[in-house]
Order: sequence, then C-alpha cells, then structure tokens
Amino acid sequence: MTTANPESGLPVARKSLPTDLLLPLAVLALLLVIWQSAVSFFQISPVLFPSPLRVLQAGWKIRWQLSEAALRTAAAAATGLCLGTCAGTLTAFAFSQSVAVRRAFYPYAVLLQTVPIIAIAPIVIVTLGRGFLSVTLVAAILSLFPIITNTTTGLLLVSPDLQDLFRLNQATRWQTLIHLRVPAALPYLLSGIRISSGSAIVGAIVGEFFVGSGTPGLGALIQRKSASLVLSELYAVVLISTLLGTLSFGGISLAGEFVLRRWFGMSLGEARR
Amino acid sequence: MVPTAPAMFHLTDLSLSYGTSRPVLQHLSLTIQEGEFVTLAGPSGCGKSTLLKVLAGLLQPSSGSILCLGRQMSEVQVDAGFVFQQPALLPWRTALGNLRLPMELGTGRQTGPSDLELLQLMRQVGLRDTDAGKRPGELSGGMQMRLSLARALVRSPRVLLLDEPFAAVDDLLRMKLQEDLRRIHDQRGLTTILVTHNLQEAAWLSDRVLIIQPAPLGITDSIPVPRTTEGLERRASAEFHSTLNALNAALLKS
Repeated sequence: MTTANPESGLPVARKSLPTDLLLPLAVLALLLVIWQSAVSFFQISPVLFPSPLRVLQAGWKIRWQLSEAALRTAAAAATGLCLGTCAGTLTAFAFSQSVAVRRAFYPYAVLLQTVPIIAIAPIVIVTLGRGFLSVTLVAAILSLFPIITNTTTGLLLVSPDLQDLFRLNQATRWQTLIHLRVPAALPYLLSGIRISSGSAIVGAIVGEFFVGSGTPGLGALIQRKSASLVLSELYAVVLISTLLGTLSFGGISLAGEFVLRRWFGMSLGEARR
Repeated sequence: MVPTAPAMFHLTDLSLSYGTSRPVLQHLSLTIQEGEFVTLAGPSGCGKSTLLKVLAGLLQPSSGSILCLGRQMSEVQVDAGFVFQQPALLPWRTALGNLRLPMELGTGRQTGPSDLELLQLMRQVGLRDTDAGKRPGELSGGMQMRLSLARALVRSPRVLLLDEPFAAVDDLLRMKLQEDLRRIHDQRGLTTILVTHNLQEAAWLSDRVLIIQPAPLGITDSIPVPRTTEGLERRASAEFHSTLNALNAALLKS
C-alpha cells in the first residue's frame, strides 16, 4: 500500500499491521484446521502423527520444561548473534577498506556458509567442552555470514557522488568510514542481523542437540523427546523452536524499523533503495 | 603561454584516458578567468563532466598541465564547491546537518559559519528556516537541489563547479534555480563553471560558453555571451536569441 508524502509528494510505502499480522495467522489457523480434521477423519494413531490439540495438550503438560529450554536457547542465540554481529561488522570494515584483504579472505567467509553446521558443531563442542560457550559459538558461526556479506555490500555501495563530495572536502579514511560508509551501511547491517537472527536460533539448537543433556536448551529437549518417542511432546518442542525463531526475526525487524525511523526517517526497504 | 594576470584555471595540452581505452580528453587547452561564469556545453560523452572533475581535483590528467591561480594544480588544493547532478545529500542528516558536513571533514580544525549564518545561507538559496530540521527525504527534489547548492557554498569557495544540476527538475523550477544561481554568482563574484546539455540555460547564465566535442576535437568554440539586459526582458530579447542561435550553430557545425 502506498501513500504520498505531504511535503514532497513522493510515494511512501506504508505497512498495514493488521493485514501483515492477520493474513499469516489466518493461514496458520487454516492449516491447523486441516491438520486436526485429517487426523480425526483418517483416525491416525497419535503415536505416528499427533493432532494439533494433542500437541497443545502435551506442550501445556511440559510448559515449565519448555519455557526453561526456550529461555536457555534464546540466551545462547542472542549471545551468539551479538558475537556474530561484532565479528561480522569488524570483518566487513576490513573488507571495505582494502580490495586485497577482500579478495584474500572472502572465500574463507563463504566457507562459513557452505560447511554444514552439523559438521562444525561437534568440532566446537569437542574443543570448548559441553557448555553454554560452545552452543553460543555455534550460533555465532551460523549468524556470521549474512552479517559479513550484507554489511560489506552496504559499506561499498556508497554513491560515487557522495564519495567525491568527501574527497573534495579532504575527508580522511576514518571520517569517510564514520560519517559516510557506516551510516549508509546501517540498513544493510540491520538486514543482515534480521536474517542471522533465525540462523542463530538454528545454530543454538544444533549446538544444544550435540551437547545433549549437559544443557537444558531446546536442542537437548528435542534429542530427549526423540529418544523417548513421545511424538506429541517432540512436536510441541519443535513448535516452540519455530515460534522462537519467528519471534526473534519479527522482534529484530521491528527494532530495525524503529532505529531507522528514529535516526534516518525512513524504513528498511526505503533505506536500501 | 601563461597569462600575466593569474587565471583561475589555465590548462595546457591536457589529456586524460581511463586505462587503455581511447582518451576522453585530448590535447585540451583553455583559460578561465577569476569571477567568470563559464558553461561547458556539448553532446553526451564529450568529456564535460570529466573536465569538471579534473578542475575539482577529483581526477588526475594523464598528461598536460593545469595552473590554478598561477600555481601548479598538484601543489594547491582547489578551493571549490561542487554541485552534482543528483543532490547527493546524506539522508540520515537534517538539512542543517548536511550543511555542517563540510566543516566536519578534513584534517585540522575547521572554522566555518555559525548555525545562524547557515540559516541565512539557506534563505539565500530559497529555503526556509523551518526546513533546517527536516531530513532530505522530507524535502522536494527542488528543495534538495537548493540545499545541495547551499552546501557547496558553505566554505565560501572561490570556484563553484556544477555538473548538470538542474537536469532532473521541471522547467519552472529550473528557471527559478537559474535565477538564484546567477544572483549568487553576481553577489559573491564566484568563478562558476557549469556543465549542461541545455543551450538555453547556457545562454541565460553564462558570460562565455565553451563548446566541447568528443576527443580528439576537444573545445571547438568559445562563444562570449553579451549581457546588456537582465531579467525576463532578456529572455525575450533579440540579443539572447542571437546567442542561442550562435550556440546551436557552433554545436551542430562539428
């Protein structure tokens, strides 16, 4: 939906929150109805495929266990995301300052994306031990790549006119970075963090899965529930994991929009245009 | 030959190529006196904008020499304000913040106008005090261009370089901006060098128009523009139309 800016007359994208929220919720409700109806109609055994009602009942039964696990996973993912954001941003700064550095190290950054996390997680755990630190590091590794690529793109994709303007005013490399490249890259960094927020949750869950019962996170819970074959509880854990990822993505999107509107007077989409 | 009174710019046998491609500028020589309003006009790809960037010190020529007020360009920092084709404003800064930018850049302590003087500068280019706190996204295209012009004047430069600044605005606004530009030039006695495709604009604003053709032709004509009348009267005058015809003929003859 678009509307016109009263000052400039330029079209401005306007989001409608009820539509943005209601449409996906309606789809979810429809899927749940189909799922419940299918299980009842075909009389599928709950041992093989539990109905949504049964999953909700199982989730309620283990709600304290689920809450604790979700909080633990969220803490590990958030710490990992912070670490990934710091490391990714610093790497992007280095990449933006030198073509040689970028060419030499970028292929290794791509490795972060291509090496399967189920291969990295056990290595990290063996090296650092079965604890919160290992889980956090796996989450950080998985969140690193989108932040590096997005931020590097933002730092380099500065208008040539603005670069000329800074050169004309004899701006130092530091001034160009601080006054031009970093603010210009902020929408890209926020976009990277948004993508990485989901990856960090996945990373934390995979890390906890390999750490096992040493940590009470969602990953360890998935492992335990798989082994005990209580499928309705396993589904409840998976549901909470998905919900955590969605909340994290949505929360960071909202925070990003707030930051951009507050400091830049524009939305994420407008800022990246 | 170097003129006795140092010219703002004196270019001798200047050439510039990007890498191994054919030269954009070839054996170009010209002199621009201090306080002159000179327009560079010519077809697309003839090197007008490139020449402007060379004069700003943003591009290094492959060969030839440039004297700026009698001194080699490599030894001096050109005191120039530059207006780009697009406003090139920082969208995260307010209008006043954009005006302050030039003072925040460079090494050493920068002195510049106070906020009150910046507001006065905004008024000079046709902006209101209430626009000072607005971000570029809240200003219209014409207002953004005015702000860009004001920013180029913040450091009180000796030279104002403009690269097709009014190409993207409508005719009415273009005329208003042209009036403002000429007034600022006359008030400040600025050396002003404008790049444009628009011959009407060239005839209206300039003291002299240089016709540039793609290399190896270079500058083919230097046409002085008489200014015996000003204002709307001038746009309708025979003198103005005669200048316009001369510019058209010069551009077409090559």
